[in-house]
Amino acid sequence: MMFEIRNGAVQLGDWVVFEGLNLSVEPGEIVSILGPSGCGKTTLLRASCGLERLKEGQRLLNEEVLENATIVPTITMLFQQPVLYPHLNVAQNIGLGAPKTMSKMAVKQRVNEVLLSIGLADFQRRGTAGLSGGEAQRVAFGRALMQEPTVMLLDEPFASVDVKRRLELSAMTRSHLKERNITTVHVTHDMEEAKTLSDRIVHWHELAVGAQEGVLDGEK
Amino acid sequence: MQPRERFRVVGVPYIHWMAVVFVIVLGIAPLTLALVRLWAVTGITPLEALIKVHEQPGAMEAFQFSLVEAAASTALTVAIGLPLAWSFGRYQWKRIQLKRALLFLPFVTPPVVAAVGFLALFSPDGLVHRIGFDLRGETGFIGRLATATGWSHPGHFIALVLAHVWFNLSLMVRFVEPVVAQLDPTWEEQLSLLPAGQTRRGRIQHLWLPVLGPATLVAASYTFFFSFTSFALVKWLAPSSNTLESLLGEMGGTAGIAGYRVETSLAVLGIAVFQMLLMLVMLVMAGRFERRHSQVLSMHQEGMNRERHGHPTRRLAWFVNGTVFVLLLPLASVVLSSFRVRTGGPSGAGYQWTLEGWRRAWAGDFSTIPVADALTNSLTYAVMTLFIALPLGYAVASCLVTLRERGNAKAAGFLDSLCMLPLSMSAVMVGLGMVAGILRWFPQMFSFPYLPVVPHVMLVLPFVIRLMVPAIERIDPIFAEQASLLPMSKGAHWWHSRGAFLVVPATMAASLCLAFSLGEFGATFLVVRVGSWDSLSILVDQVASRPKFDPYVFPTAMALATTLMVVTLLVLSLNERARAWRSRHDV
Amino acid sequence: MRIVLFLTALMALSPLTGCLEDGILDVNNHICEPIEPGRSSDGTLRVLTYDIAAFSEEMLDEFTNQSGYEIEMIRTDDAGGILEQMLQTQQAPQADVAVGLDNTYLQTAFDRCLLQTNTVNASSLDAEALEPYQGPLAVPFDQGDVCLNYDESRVDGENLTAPHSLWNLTEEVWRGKVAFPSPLTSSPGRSFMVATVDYFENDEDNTTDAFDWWRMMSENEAIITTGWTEAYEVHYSGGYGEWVEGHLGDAVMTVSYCHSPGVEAFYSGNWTKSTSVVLPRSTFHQVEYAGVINGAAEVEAANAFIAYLISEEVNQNMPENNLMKSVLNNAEWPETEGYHFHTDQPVLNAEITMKRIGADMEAWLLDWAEATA
Repeated sequence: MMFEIRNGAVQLGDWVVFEGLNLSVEPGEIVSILGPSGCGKTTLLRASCGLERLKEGQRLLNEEVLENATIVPTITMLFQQPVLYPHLNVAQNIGLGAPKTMSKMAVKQRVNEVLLSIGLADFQRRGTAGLSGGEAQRVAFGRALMQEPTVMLLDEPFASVDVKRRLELSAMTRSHLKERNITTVHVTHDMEEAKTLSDRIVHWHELAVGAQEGVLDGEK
Repeated sequence: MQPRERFRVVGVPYIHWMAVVFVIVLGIAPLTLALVRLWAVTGITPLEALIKVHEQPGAMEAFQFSLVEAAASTALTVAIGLPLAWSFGRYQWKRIQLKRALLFLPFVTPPVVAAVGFLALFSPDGLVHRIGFDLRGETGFIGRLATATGWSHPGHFIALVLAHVWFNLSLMVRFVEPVVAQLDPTWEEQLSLLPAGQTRRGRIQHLWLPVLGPATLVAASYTFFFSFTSFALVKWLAPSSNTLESLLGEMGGTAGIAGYRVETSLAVLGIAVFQMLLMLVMLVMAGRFERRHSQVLSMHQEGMNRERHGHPTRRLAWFVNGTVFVLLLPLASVVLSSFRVRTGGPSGAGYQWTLEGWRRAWAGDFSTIPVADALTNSLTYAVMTLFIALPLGYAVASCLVTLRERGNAKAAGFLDSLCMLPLSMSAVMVGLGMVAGILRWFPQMFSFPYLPVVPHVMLVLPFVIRLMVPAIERIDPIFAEQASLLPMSKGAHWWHSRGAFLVVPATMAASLCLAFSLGEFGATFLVVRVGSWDSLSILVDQVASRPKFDPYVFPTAMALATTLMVVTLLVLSLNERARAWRSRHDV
Repeated sequence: MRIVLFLTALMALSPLTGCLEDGILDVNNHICEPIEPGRSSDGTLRVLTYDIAAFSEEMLDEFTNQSGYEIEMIRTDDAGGILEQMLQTQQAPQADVAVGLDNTYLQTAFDRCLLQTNTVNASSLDAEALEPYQGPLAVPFDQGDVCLNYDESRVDGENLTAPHSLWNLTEEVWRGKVAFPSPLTSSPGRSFMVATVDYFENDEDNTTDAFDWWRMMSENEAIITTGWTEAYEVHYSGGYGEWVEGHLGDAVMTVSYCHSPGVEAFYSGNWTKSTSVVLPRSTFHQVEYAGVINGAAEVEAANAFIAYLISEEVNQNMPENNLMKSVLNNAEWPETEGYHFHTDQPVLNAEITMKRIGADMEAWLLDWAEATA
């Protein structure tokens, strides 16, 4: 599905995070937004999934305007730090992404499939406390895949992972997203990550009115 | 994310507001009714009575005594408790769960039990007397101290202060130990590399004081508060003195009766209002310290610091284990006394070992309710208190946290103080207010066998709220945001974003509810005491208060007290299991 | 003329017709309205009594077997607590029978209309027990003489001599050695205070009264405690207190009962070092009563319980069960283990009527508080 932000603006308190922002992502396209730390990329993603209110503008899904600040089941987000529930093990965390109508048996089977596809086949009963940064983010990603979203928002998902693993995970992520034709908005300040993961790279300052051009990781 | 505003006011769900209103009314109603009743009986307003409080016989002396003994108790508690808590939090200890449960046991021990235990230590055959300190008879060194200083009854004062320290040491551990345990060890390491950290003074000034200061202040405030309002311990250990609370306790039963001993009603009115104002000030200060304290607590596992520092030095091990051992002595003497009966006569005196006290306790020889029934009552009240206080306390805590998050800190602080009101009220006022209110509007409530649960809930709620507020504040809101993005029912959303994180503090609050209710005596005592409703703590006092011409009265009372202690210890062990679980799962 | 007299008599007597109705009491021309019960009748008798009243489970079970009524005990601290509980709940009484009001509290209970007429026949009880009050509102169930006890091992005629006048206790040699439970909070303390009123009204000195004596006792560092237990157990050196944790033993004399030495002996194998001061009018004959509460829900059960209390099977055990004397006619103290032998007999108890106690008690308490402040 096509995802758009038209003339979007967000203000937090007295701070105008961005305004006049226009973003358009084609169905199944992966777009990376490059920008320096603190420019408002995360806020954009939060507004896109309904966690923040747009002061102005609209967000559209397949040309249909979505209600402001309302969470839509088909849009999901991966936070910068993987949000895993410590009272649940890996399989249970992934299982949280399953639709409510799915039976327990079906959930279990699906979870195993997802674990296999993200390279964590033997991690079902593992607790989340001992996972590395990359493993944890893979689990969070697997949960997001369980939801079968049409739009996925990735907020610097590999920031806590070392450089070598980052590119591997970027490639793996791209493979899954493309396989499922998930429209994706990815924000990062790492050019190499953006190049590996996305179809198109957009600079932050090109998106929003008055946004500053900054120095990015990996940019020559 | 802005939560949905339906069924909410200022972001707080209606049901939480209802809980807040209910809790405040539960606290304010008895107070208001008691004041109104006393006002009607005396014809004098509370304010006028307050202005004249200095004229009440014994009031200013009691105030002075309360102040001095509370200050001394607090200072000594901090002096012993701070290094104790620091050692506990910093190192790995064997059987730490058991040690913590034993440390907390004094806090929930009924005062009559504790008093008897202490008296055994201070009396001529007791350990303290044998090492040269006659705190009871005030001969020897203590007598010379009295003579030299002109201080009347220094031994009784010291005995009372020691008992208060015994009771309140657990507060220091409860508040300070988690801070030490959860402290990121790299903070200390970093400081040690800086010029400021090269000296002990520097480390104290730049690390330990800022980190431990708030927690210590919170514990000290509550210690002062509990010592100031001491009642039963004063009567047993310092019989020639009075705190304001014990003074009120003496007069309480006579107050509030029209045309009968009106001077007593006037005295109670003035002293109770005076004490309440003092208590409210202390509670507000304690609340402020607690806000700062909860901000210091980090999200680290409790085990981190301990793993870094390993096992304690021998000296510290002796100190901690020794303190735990000393804390058990009064309780051990209670247990011992349950197996001994005095024998006397013209030829001399002695004791012999016997199980007769236990037999009589369980057969109900000195009471009209068997101990099994009293224990059942106690456990019933405790469970009921738990199921009422826990959800209520959670709802209030959630409301306060939401208000603060929304920038309504002042409103939250005000409501918080109102919820703490029952703690500031004398048990006499609680009892009088309940009797007045129930009689006026719900006389059939006197026949309600679960009436004693009401004062239990009133007194335990402030502690539940105190536990829950920082626990809720520490939950990262991102878990709720993530849950919003997942296909969950409302119930599942609440559970995964909040409920699961509160299992451990809720368990700790639950064991606190149970332990408090089991040992609660004062307020229950004042509500109509229908014999068949007697709890175990009431039964202990009832039997212990009998004239002891019959030598089996005392061991019987001690057998009952031992039963109560064992049950309380079992309940407290829940607390420690929950804590260990949290430490393992980093929740 | 005869008609005029008749009509006048009729008019004079007409207010008294109220006493013919059930439940309406006429005490000294003071009409008491019956009070509505505060609870509904459910076959359970609620007994309001004090903490240490020794009703054994067997005794209560036997009553239930005989009468069919279940019993619930409502306990207060002491006799004063009973009165206070009744006053507090007067609008909606929760108990049916009050057991333990003594003759220093009973008049107040009458004046406040706290009791109603009972149907128990008490006329055959001991005359001494009936002396303070004999009437339809309360029935005596035990009695005793409140008096000073002292430790014979320390008041041995050498260091200290037994007083031949209460004034002796104000002398330097007795400084800090006498413990009194406060009359404000203790029933035996109250009884003893009443005795001192009579004692000093009848001594040779017309210029001083009881409260002058109390003032001097206070200046002589008399120990004032909240209750009897603290005075007897903690301070008094002559009793069982020396076996109780926390005993101080700084008082060689205290207020208790003339039969307390007998009780001591009973539990100590016919031995005690405690004995009593029986100076005329320094002792007080205390009688404890049971009465049906005005507003009782279970009146029949209350009457049955009172009758049970004064039945021979129960009342004869008062010395062992309740540590007080039976009110049965010709009852004596038990002979076993020296109970009777060590019990002291008062020479002349204080002669103050219950009515006067009711009228003057509040003033006395204020005077006492002022004298000992």
